[in-house]
Amino acid sequence: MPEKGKLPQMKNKLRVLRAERQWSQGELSQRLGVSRQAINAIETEKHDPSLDLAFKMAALFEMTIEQIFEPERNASQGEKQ
Amino acid sequence: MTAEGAMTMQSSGKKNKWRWRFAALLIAGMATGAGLGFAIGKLIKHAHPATQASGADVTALSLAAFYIGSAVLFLWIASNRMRLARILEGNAAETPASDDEVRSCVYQAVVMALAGVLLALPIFAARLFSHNSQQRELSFAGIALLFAVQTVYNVRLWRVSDEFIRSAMATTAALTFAVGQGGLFLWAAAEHMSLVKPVSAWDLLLDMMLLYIFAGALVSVRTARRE
Repeated sequence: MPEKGKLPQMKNKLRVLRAERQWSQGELSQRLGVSRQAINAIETEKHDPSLDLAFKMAALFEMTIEQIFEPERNASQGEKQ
Repeated sequence: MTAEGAMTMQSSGKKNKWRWRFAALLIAGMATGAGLGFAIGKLIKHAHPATQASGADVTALSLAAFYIGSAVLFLWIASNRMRLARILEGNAAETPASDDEVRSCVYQAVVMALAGVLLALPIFAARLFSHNSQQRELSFAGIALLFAVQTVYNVRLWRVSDEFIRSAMATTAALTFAVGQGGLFLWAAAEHMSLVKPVSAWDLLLDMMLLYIFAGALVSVRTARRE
């Protein structure tokens, strides 16, 4: 569970998926039509993308949204198990 | 080691170099702006000994110099697409800045330059045309026109920004409002009870601008690039 008073944040595999394809942040930002700062903020989990952007990412990586993003509560439950 | 780890380690040193260079330029700009504003304030006081350059005016001129200096810095960055890409992504940047990234940087420069001019103009107009109300009205019309142009560029900046940049803008505005209205309420209450001196709209505007800069810096630091 997220810390008390903190909004739940999504965990994501964006950096790994990007590195696997050997794309720079600039290249990925151009493919998704967002800024490099947005890509960096999502990769470092400081910003949760909109649903629209999440769908664009899923389409680009040919995955489902759930394969890229995971709610923090699920991630921490997985760590405990 | 994963491809991701190797990529990050290779680039992080170079990225830091660029970030430090940008931060140093920004701090130098702020210091120069403050010094220049103070010097201009002193100059006004010297040229018009009868009219005191108030603390608020010196603050306004310092802010104006800071904004204009920052605008020049942003234009210099935007003048080279690879330079802009390195500022945004670090030295690992391979692709030059896109049209939207250049446009966003230029719009920010225009908005900041106009903010600087708008902050300085009322001070000079008030002093230069202190005995001529018609010229003061004409100057005010010019200021209102410039403000309209700045609003157009602010809207353009919003439209060219993506969801992340818009979210940072909205957070900065919300933080400024939350702290500003709290401070304003306390001051207004104290003023109503004759505990503090009344403040002018000009003083309030400058306080809000300073608060906005600090809020913007805080939001930027919290969402800053991190490897």
